[in-house]
Amino acid sequence: MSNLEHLYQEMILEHNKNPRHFQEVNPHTHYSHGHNPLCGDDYVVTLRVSSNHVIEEIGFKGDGCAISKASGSLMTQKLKGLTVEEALELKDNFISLITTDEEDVDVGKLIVLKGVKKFPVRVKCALLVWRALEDALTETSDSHEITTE
Amino acid sequence: MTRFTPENPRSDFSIFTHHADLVYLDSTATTHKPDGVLDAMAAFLKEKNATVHRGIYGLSVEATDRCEHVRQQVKGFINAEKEEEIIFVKGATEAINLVAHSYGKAHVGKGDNIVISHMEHHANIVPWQQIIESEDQLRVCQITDEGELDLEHLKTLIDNQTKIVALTHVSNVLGTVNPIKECISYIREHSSAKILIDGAQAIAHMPVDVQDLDCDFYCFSGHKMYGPTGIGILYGKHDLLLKMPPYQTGGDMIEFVSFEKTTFAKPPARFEAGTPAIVEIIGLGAAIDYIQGITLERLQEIDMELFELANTELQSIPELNLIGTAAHKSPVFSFTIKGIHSHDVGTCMDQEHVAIRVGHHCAQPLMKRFGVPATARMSFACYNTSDDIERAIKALKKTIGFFI
Repeated sequence: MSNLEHLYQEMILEHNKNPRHFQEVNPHTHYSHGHNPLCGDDYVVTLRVSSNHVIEEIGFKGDGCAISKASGSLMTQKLKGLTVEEALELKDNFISLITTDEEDVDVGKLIVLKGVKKFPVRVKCALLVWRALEDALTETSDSHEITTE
Repeated sequence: MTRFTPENPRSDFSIFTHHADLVYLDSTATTHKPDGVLDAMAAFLKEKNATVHRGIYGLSVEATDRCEHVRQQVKGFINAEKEEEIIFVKGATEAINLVAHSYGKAHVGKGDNIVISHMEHHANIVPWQQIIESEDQLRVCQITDEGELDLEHLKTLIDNQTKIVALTHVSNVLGTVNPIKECISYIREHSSAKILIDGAQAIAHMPVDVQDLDCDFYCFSGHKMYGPTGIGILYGKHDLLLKMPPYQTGGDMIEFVSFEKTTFAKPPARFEAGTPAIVEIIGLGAAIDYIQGITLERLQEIDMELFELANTELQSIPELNLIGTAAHKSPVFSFTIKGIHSHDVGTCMDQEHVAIRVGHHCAQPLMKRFGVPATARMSFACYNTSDDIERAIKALKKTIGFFI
């Protein structure tokens, strides 16, 4: 498999063409707007979290490259039904997957994004929606506006 | 002596020996440097290094002479009237900041306005925003769908409260070559505004004669004209510079300093606080030697050949949407491809060793104007060849095939 095919696996191309949960959740309990000022990728992540901290609905909406869009699509698919705690743990695992040499991480089918590691300038693309998720679920910023820079 | 090979400039650039496979199409961001420039810089550091202005010893006197010689070279290169009109700065960005903070702050008051255009680089937008009190003081000339200045709109923006008009000579995104001389003569007739031209994308591609243009300020960066980074030029009319306060203060720019009072040196020293980028100045001189050796006529000829071929090839790709189709263009091509984000285009092209730029190109308002978040951009310089274009088009078609 070439580097390119490793980066853009079939599943990524398919999720880019048909992103899942590609919408805003309304009403929502959590929100964040993530922006990459270097390339213009821009997404809003919205969630409805129940009183017992379960993610009932999650959506992302916006514009960006195949990597960022597929990452958002796979993220929302994976997170629906998890607790906030489980979601944040998965987020940490996903970040380890694409930024460290850690081999033994449990991320399920998000493993298809592993190829991004070989393309350092694209790591931020894959992380954008996850950074927004983190911002939405925790009080990392008052405005819930985050950037990759 | 700077080696130059007008019939095959590519052979003057060692980078292509080290990367024989490289198709470099990002010269709008920075050009490569011919060996003559690199050799001149290395030779200076190895054999002649010393500070300028202060030294009583021979090496320093020689270094000073070398730098002042480059000032004369620049004066000749852009046909300034006096060498005092040539100020060494870090690059075009610093030049614009200098004018904004020195001339602009002193002359743009409440109710006054500054006119720019919709195709400006952030470097010719943000410095002006910093010196105005309210946003309506910044007036923006519209551009057409082809990416040309809307001259009729420009005329409606200029009035007797217009203090500064700042326009780009050539757009870094659209490639449009603006009718600067025509604009300047209109502005002169209808206002007393001072005129700054951002020449960053023009200087290595066409002859620039600041007296003929009759602009008040003209600026450019060394690294977009085959020279090093960290050096650029601000040209300013002498009578204006004489009246302008310093932008930065410190050593080299003073006449006399006491704790009570400091008097400032005359231009250009007044605007050159601190030790200048000495070896970069030497490099800039060698870059001018290189351009003059190849000749601007030959550079324009190469541009024209590359433009025609690339334009025809790109237009023949049905999925490709070219942004910027002005009648008078430099070889800069911004485009989007339906269904493929420019970032993905850039990564795929890189796998074929074709280096292009993707993103907003420091021109977010322009991206918004054309309703795109980002574009891919190919830009050309004298070392590019028809083979580069062939390989770029092949890589582009492969990219489209991969995604669509």
